[in-house]
Amino acid sequence: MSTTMNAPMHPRRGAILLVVAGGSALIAALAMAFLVRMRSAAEETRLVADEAQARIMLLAACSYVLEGSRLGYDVDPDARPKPDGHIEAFGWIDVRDGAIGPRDQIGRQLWTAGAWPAVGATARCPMHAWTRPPYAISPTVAPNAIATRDPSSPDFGRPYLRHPDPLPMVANGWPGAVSDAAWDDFAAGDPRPRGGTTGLAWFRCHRESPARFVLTCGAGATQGFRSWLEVQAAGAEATFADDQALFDDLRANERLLWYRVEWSAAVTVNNYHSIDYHVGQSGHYYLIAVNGSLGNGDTRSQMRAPNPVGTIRWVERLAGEPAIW
Amino acid sequence: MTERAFTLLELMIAIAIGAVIAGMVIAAARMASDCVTAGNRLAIENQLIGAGVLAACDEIDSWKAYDDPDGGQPLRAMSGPRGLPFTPLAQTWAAAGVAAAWDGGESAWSMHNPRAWWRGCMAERAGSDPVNGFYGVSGASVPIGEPAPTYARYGTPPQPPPVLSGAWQHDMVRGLEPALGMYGLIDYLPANAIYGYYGAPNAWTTEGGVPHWMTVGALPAPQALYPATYNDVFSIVPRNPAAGTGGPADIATTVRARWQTWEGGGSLAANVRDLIDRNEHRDVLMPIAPAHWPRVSARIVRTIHKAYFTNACTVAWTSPLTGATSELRFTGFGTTLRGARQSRGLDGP
Repeated sequence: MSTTMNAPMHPRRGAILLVVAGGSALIAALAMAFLVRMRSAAEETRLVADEAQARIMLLAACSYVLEGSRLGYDVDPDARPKPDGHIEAFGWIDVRDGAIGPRDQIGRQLWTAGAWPAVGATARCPMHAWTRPPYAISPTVAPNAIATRDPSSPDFGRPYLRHPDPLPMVANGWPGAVSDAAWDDFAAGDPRPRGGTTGLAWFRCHRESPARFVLTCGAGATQGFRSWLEVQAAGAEATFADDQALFDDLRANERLLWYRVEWSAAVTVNNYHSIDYHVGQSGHYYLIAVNGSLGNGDTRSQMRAPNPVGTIRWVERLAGEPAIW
Repeated sequence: MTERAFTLLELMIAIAIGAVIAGMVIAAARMASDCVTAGNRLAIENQLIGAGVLAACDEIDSWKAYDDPDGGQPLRAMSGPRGLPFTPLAQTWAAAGVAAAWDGGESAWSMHNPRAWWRGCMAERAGSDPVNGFYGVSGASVPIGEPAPTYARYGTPPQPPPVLSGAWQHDMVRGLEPALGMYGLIDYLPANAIYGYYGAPNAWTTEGGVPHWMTVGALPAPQALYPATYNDVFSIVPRNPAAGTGGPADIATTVRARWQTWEGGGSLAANVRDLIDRNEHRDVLMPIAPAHWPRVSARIVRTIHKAYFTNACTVAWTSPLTGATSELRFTGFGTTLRGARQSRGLDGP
């Protein structure tokens, strides 16, 4: 048996080790405290962001209720003339006779019992952004800008119409042979979720009675599925990695707000004025249309009457989770 | 073995280097400590700003600044014959003296129903000369119970008999103003409402009886919402109004007041200041807090202007070190007055 004798440690080496270890521990503790605080602050900020996100969903859901009162029921407007293809509805409560809507131009109901938009049914609306929405227009302001920089250019100062204006996001072959396939692509859009927009927010719209809706506004990643059973019924298990625990965890971390709202067909109305008021000429009147360019000393645009599909009569935040949503 | 010891020179160099290193370590530790302190301060400030934003968002929906179910409900009182924004309708509607009860059903104002149609001539205004006819009532109806118009100078034109069809709309509009004030009136009526109704001829009506002018907007004529709120702002007073605005009697007047925002009026700034002073709710978050924490307040003022309902929120924080105040302003969308009243059961019989 052999033994090895270690050289005796010099006392100064131990002291340096202690100083270095102590300093490192101090810096590490400070860094850790800082990181923990920042992490905590980030989580608190997320609560505010989720609240804002859920409230944006309230706006989106109300817009959906408004537009759904009249729009969104087209079947095949190119192939079939109105009212069979291009369908426009007349309100959740039909403005013509008070019947339950939506109904088309000749009064046929556009809903079937048990399915949206029937009373008692629910629409689920995940709110990721599409890669390209239907009928997407390029944000190019002037697709046919007149050349003004080079006077020697043969195009200088000439207003050529070389591109469609507005410019579609899908090149359609114009001004040559316009492609039907390109048009279909343009009309259909690209529904694939745009990166970074998934798992943020959604809303659900439950039609409680003809004009009243329970809106659920969610900030989180469940895409508006209410339960795992609903996920299974939709065949969407793969969206959550076939893992109910994951879904439940996502649900537990969501911010949910519930509202009841009522739709009304009423919109801003025209207004009449007596010129008497303005110029002292009695007995003469003029009409100020809701979207007229001028009236009452103020320019009026569609911005002043942004409700051609009705208005939300009232909004009520619900204290807790309703039985059906 | 020779014993090795430090020379004086070595010792002095070692002490000097040690002092430099110690100084650097202390400086680094102080900087790290300052960073942590600053981080903590920023985190606390961020936390309190976030709390202010959440408090403002909560207030948008809860309306507790106006009517707190846990206490403090001065806006549920009656002020003489007039109600306040949170007075139960059952209490105040009777005081309005109209026959039909408030109908809040979702089909009540359906467009197809003639009872919801406004009848009259919007062009008529107080004192105008009906040389082109008696528009105020021709083709319209005089609700049962209202006195017939007078035609002293023009002779009585043919009149349709009083009918009930015009009475319902008349009763709804006429009943809401004394019930809830102007903000409540506008909140409860549909977007296409005309703010006027046939009433007994008086100083504000034309001979022949134009629809009664309501004090919505500057013009003495029946108005749609946009022109009625074009130059004016209507608001609603919180349950604890700022000092100087007085008690419930003043609140009753205030919830029926209009603030002119017409730039040509010459008193725009004063009017807006008065509007904010009377109608803004101020809530200081955590009034008892460590001295080194920022002071944070959340404020909200609810108004109607140019046909828009607006919940204007402000979160303000004041640095305890510099005294500088910063503000975050935003508008929020949420529970309406009617929604808040319904959740409190104030619209039932």
